[in-house]
Amino acid sequence: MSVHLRLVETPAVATATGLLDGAAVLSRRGTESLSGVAPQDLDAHRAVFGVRRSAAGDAAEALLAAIDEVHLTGRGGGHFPTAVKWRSVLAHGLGATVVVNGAEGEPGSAKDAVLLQTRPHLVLDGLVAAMEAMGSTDGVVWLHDGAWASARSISRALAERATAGLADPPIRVVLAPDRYLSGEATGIIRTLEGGPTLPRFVEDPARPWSEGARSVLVNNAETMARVGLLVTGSAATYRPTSLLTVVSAGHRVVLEVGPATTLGEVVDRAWSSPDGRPPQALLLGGYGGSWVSWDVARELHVDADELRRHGLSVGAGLVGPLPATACGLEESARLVRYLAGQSARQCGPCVFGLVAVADLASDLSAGRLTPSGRRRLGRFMGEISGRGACRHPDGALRMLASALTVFGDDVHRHRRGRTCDAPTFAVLPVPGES
Amino acid sequence: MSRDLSRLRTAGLGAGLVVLVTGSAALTSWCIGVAIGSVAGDRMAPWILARAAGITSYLLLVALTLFGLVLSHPYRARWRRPSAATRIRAHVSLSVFTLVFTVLHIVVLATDKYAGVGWWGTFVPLGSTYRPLPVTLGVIALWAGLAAGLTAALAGRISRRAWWPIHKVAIVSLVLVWLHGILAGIDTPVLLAMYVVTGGLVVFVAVSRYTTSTTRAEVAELAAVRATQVPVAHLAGPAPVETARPAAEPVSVEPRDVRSGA
Repeated sequence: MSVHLRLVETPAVATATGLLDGAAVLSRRGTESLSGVAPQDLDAHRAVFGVRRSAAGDAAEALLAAIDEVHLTGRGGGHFPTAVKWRSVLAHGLGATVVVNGAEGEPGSAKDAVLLQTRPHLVLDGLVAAMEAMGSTDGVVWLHDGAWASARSISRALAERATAGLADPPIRVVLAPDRYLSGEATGIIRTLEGGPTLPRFVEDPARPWSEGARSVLVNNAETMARVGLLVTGSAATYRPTSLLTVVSAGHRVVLEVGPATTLGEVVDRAWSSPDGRPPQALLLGGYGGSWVSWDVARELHVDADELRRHGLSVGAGLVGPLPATACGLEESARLVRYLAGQSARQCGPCVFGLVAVADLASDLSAGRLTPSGRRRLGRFMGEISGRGACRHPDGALRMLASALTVFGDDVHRHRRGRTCDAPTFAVLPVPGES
Repeated sequence: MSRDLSRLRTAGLGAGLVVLVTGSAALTSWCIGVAIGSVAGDRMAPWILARAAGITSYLLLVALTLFGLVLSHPYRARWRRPSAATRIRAHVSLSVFTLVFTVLHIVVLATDKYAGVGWWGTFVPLGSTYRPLPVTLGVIALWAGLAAGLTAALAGRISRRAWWPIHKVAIVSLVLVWLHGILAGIDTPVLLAMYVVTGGLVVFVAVSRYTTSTTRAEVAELAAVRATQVPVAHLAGPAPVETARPAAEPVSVEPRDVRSGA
């Protein structure tokens, strides 16, 4: 698979307050061979961002205070405060394994890949700072199998840092199986403990590692790069931006936007409409995110608090506009089917519930959902939600529930056995589809 | 319009149910009438009744086992009809009917002097003077069946780990009942054919249930794909062009304890 990336809208002078210089363009699938983009080398990185300050010993508290001050959160959609997570790991003593999670399971998302390939030193600065704060001697860059360009970029950056004489603690690059759930934190921890890369039940969310095993801190690549911004710059110069991946029919655009930008502007800037018309709705967050109608979405700012008030989240940063010529129910059924297929098959709610929901969603999409099927769909969606070791079904159900609301008119039509007969289909990329 | 249709449908279903219940009651009465009429006054009547109850019990046990296999089949989630709730209800109802006809079979044989089985022969292996071996197979099958049924009745109240392995002795029960029938009950070719066909059917479904990949096997398959650690030196080489997929080594599974300095 050959994927090309180029940088567009590159400003003349790079600024030290943002993560990316401009927008990166990738092909529809994959994150590899992002040719045309040289990773920022150590000198360029230092010229733009400055030299990293130590976060060891007493400096750790200052870094935690800075993380608190800028309200840095995780990228999983739950907006879990990063400082709280760090403190809860520190409460179990020093010496945790620190993991940068760059395994983007979301098939549409490529923001972490772009970050790892263009700003490897910023991510590594964040990782090393986290390791110093945790008193760690085991750093892991967690990628998915096939992410060779990211692995190469990070490995080269590590070699460069060693040559430059930086006293970084040991960092290894680990490739996880290329699956949707490979970036799930409990699966990462289970792997590091010698187990399979599959999610598991965790009794105490503040201690996701096994009794007696080494503590583990897992942060997303974007979060770690933001820690990198804080240890090179300061909380005062930090800008709370978001990295988004906007999916078009033939390509994807990764861009960085501030909280004053509306989703309407994001789509205007980065989405190519197949028919010149605006989209009818957006899928926001990821395949386990939510559909938002265009009328609502265009006015919404990419601001965590504002989105939360609407029950939404930037999550993994995916923005999937649905062309006016596509059917939202067909697209949603396709995504639920994909998510059901990506379950770890460990818990009943996925094995039975999600598969049954996917069948019923397909029936609805094909216009053959019976009244009893409709009742079952409602019942299953209620029964399955909030269950399973990694809550995998929750995202799929949230997305489907939002589809049933946003595409309400289509639901009505499909229930009467008439489909949309949409000329545009398979809008969002799903691995394995030709 | 659609409300009228749904009302019509409900009325139709109700009428159908009344016809079905009345019809089956009439058919049952007629069957009982014919049975009584044909054996009335016959000194073989208890024997015939016991045989009939035994065969009915066997057929119910076959249906019960088939439902059990379907209930635990790896493909169960893909089948919509009958629904999962109906399947489990049918399984439980069939077990009750099987028990009722087995009790009838036993009571009649134990009280029938002509049969030569007696109460002792009914519950104790090799206690029967009439065909001790086939009767003993039936006796063991009875105990095995009771174990399977009673443990399942406790399902939900006791751990699945406790009752599920015991419940599997049900298959022993069916095999012994089948041999019991083959050795003691094939005096006509029709009965032999019945045992062969029903036995074959159960074997067919059991093979399908046990050879289909189970969820646990799928998890094992997913778990077998391990994460790998990339040798950094290989990737960090000078070549900036596409490199082939590098050889990867499995992640070190030994957690190193840094606190002890190991």
